[in-house]
Amino acid sequence: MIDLLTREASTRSAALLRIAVVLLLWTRFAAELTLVATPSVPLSLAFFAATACLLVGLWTRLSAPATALVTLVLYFWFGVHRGHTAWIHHHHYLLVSAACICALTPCGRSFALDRLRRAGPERGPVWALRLYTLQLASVYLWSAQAKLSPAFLGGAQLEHIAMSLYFGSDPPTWPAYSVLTVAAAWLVTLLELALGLGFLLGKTPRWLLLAGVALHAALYLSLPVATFSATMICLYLAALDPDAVDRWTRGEPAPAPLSTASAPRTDPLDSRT
Amino acid sequence: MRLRAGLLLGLASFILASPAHRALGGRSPYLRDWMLYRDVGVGLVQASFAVHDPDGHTTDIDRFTALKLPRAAGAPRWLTHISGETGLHRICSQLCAALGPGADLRVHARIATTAGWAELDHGEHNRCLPQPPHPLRPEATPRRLHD
Repeated sequence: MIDLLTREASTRSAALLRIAVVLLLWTRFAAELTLVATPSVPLSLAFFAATACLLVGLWTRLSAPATALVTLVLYFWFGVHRGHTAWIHHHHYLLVSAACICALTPCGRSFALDRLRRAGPERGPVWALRLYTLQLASVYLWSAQAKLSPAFLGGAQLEHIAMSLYFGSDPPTWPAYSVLTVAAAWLVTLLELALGLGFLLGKTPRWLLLAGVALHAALYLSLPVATFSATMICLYLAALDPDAVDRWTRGEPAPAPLSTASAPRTDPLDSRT
Repeated sequence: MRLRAGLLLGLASFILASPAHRALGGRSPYLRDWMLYRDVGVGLVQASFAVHDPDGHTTDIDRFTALKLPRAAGAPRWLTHISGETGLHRICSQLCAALGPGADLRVHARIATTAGWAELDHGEHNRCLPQPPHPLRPEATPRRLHD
């Protein structure tokens, strides 16, 4: 715990996440916040001003909390309180959460215009990156918990989803279809449990991250998940060692291991600690 | 340092524990659950239709062909996605009208519910005659966003 709170590392992961979060926010909200479509002109102006500054890394100590505040207003005031239900789905909440966590990271120390005004080492406290991975853990574990029922593990709920999106009231009648839905239900549930525990414990080996990316790619292709899959995959960046990501972004070779037992992490896709 | 520790512990606790509220039956819209795609397809009906002849034979019928409506693109949604018992009743009424007076239409149907599949009709009744009352199934209605 003390190590986590005091550790300083490269800020490039936080900066990349900052850029990704803004691009995802624009992907989801920008069209509905243009002046012809917005429910509130001040909200739109605040959204675009804050996120534009955050994207280029200008005044990030102000623009990151401002972006978080605007997304909280979007979700809780306009979405929940005023009943604009198109803004209160899971993928919106995930974006709001990511924007709030972004405000706690030193995201303006890399890939940012702020560096032109205040040059310094691209290093900083990275404890808040852990919140991203805990958010991922929460999504996976509670999602898996909801799937631990005979209705899901027996394949019925996947059949319902497939009927709603693809087959209508005439699903395939071949026997392998039922086997496939049961197998898919178990595979998704077990993978979500593994990912949830991995992110919770901070142990996400390469194969698990790649399996998670494959899961979200499949979900994106087969279900209307909007920005959910892309957001989840982007947040995986927080599970990688920031210094390994730093080396990777600079194109530097990984340091040679001193010995097998004390080998530093050289693979940015391996966050085992 | 204390601020960081407080923020980390407080936010981590909220992120990890707040979904429990809805998992345990709470309904506050201010706390998010992660029950992804939980009710998609709930209320849809899977059904097969057959006609009983007076001599006891049963012949399966295709609802699209019987109603002379297209099967693929252009098919009305109420016919491709039979929605609830009301949707099934509507199709049965149209099939009975298309089959003519005295038809004996039998249906095997099941409905998607939040608890899995539930049987709707085992083909015991002639759907072209007045039907016995069916109990309402609340679990066959998709929950609203914050139910």
